Amino acid sequence: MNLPRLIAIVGLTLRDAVRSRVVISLLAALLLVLVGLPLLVQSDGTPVGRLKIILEYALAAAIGLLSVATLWAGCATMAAELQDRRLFVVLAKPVRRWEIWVGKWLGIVLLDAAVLAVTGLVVAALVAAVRPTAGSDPQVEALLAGRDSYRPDWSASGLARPDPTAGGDNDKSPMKSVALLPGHSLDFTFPVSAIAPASPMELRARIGSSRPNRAPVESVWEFGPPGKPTSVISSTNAPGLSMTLAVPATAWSPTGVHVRLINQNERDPTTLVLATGPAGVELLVPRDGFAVNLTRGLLVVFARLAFLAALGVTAGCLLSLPVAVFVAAFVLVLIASAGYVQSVAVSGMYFIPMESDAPEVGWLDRVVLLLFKLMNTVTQPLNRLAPVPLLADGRRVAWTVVAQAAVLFGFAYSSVAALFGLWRFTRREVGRAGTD
Amino acid sequence: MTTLPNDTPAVIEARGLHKVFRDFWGRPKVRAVQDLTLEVRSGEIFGLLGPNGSGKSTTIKMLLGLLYPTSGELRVMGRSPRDAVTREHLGFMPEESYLYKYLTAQETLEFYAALGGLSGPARRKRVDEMIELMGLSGARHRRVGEFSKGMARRVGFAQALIHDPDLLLLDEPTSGLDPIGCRQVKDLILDLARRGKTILVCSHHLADMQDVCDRVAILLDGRVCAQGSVKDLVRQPDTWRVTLEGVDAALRDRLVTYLQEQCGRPVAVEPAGRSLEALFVDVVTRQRAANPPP
Repeated sequence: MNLPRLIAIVGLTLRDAVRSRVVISLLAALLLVLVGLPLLVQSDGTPVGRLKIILEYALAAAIGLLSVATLWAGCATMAAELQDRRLFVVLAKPVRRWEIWVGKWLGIVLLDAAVLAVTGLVVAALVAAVRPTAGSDPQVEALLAGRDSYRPDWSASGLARPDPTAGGDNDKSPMKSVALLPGHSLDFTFPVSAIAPASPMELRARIGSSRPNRAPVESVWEFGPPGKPTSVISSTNAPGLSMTLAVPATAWSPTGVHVRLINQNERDPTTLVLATGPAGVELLVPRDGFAVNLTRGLLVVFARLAFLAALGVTAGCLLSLPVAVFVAAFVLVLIASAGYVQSVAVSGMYFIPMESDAPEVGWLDRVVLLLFKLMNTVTQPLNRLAPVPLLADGRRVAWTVVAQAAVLFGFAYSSVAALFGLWRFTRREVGRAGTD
Repeated sequence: MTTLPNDTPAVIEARGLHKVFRDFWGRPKVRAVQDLTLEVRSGEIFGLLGPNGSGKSTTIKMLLGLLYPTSGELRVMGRSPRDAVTREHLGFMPEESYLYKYLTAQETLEFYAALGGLSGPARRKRVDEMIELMGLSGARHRRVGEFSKGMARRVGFAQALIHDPDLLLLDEPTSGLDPIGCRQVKDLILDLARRGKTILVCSHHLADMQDVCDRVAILLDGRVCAQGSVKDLVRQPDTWRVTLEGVDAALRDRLVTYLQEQCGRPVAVEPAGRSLEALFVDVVTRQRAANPPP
């Protein structure tokens, strides 16, 4: 590899983006989205509501915009130069085609890094502007903390432990939910002895009921050693929806956080149904500050952008600009639909059937489902390693997630795109009459 | 123009070269080059002539390794044109100046110099030399997108020369240039050949080609129709042009009468004069010397 040649191509790509006003336009659009969207979208008026809009909508929109810009820049930097023949003169120099590919990709990746850094600073500034005085609003502090999620140890309850590796619907789990008859209770423990005793903790659970209507469900929660609770909380919540409880610091003990759920609906006999799958009971415990968590989240985004840049440059190498942009747009739509693709691949249904009878599955359906399963293999990590839902929910973007994203998107996916692009580009004829 | 001995090593060798463009289904669509055999020797200026669509550009693209021959053998400097090492010794000036419009002249040359393998002080020195040689000193910090076509051609020529290649492929090098620029380019081509460079030129400007080329090949429909030294190709057997200086009209008439008697056929006589290009260059040069631009 000739480093001066590579640096020259990287520099050219950066100059192109800066002088053709791509960077300034992109920054202006990002600023508009990050500042404008929170003004347009109505929040509930609380600081938490406003922060959620910044983190959930504005940040997601900014990342979406940056993804589109990255794919477009990747396509344009190659396809446009091939089309207007500027690349002929470059290819006539003693430069390897892979050096051109890598130089273009690196240029876009560096540009992404700079724009992403600005995005992070703007988000941090917006959060600082909305955030009330530190410590004055526990909900805000919880949202802006990078919290770890702990699952219960069900052995204290005498139940089999649910399979934590099962998919979204937890079909393979030995237990999706637990029914609690009136007058009965359920004990479980969160093994969180490693955390500091005074940490503010939050319990999340989904409780349904045997009532046929959507009437609120009453439940009683005891925290502390079994039989000697240090705190008792009564809760009323909508059935089946996620509820949150602030767990008192006194609930902590060296053996973990002990919880007892009691069904006290004896006068109006109602069976409680506690969801115990992955979306069921969890304890959220703060581990990091917002700045560190946001930085890690942006690193995950950066790894995704590196992959999109590789995809764009490869498409631009092989296809004309309009076709490359079309293919890239299709890929973006596919990535954006990762959740739907996963649900189809897992459930085997394109949509929820309106009738109770199972729909007839024909050969075409089988082929389409197979296609969805293949797509899900690729898009599922993109769905799983998305930082925005974590940031918007006050969850920690763990270093393991960053490492997975770096290995998967920054290395594996990007390498596959690069190898395919280089394999085709090094064999491609350039300058065929009427085709370039 | 020089005459090279036949044992001078060949820089470009094409033997039985074919290039067929196929459609999406793999069916032959255009036979752009057919059975092309030519040899360009070290230090000569070789002209590739032909009407539009005759296969000149396709041949140049194959020499650059952009297109691949369908069959036949093609060697440049003894190597395959697709080998990047080959291009270390090769400079290319395309028909249009396909330059990055957002770069200045200096940045453009620095970029191509870096691609050519130059770095550090050697690169800066070479860029300065090229800017000086092409008369771009006053415009070195202007963006190429603001240049006239002629100035852009100069930058295009400079980028072809920036890494001091041994072989130059020039596609319509005088296209878009005014007569002064044309003259300078032709002088530069001749000067480069004197310094041992091998030059392959494609052009529609036959007068320009006649001025500079040692040998030419005329292509038609992808085939070589004629090939050889310019002198041999344009020579008419037993036909001579005599230039007489200091001869008045009376003496001219006597000489014409004598020649017609001796030859037994009419003799063409016309007043000698300079070419329009020579006149233009002379007038503009004198005017500029008298009123230098600010």
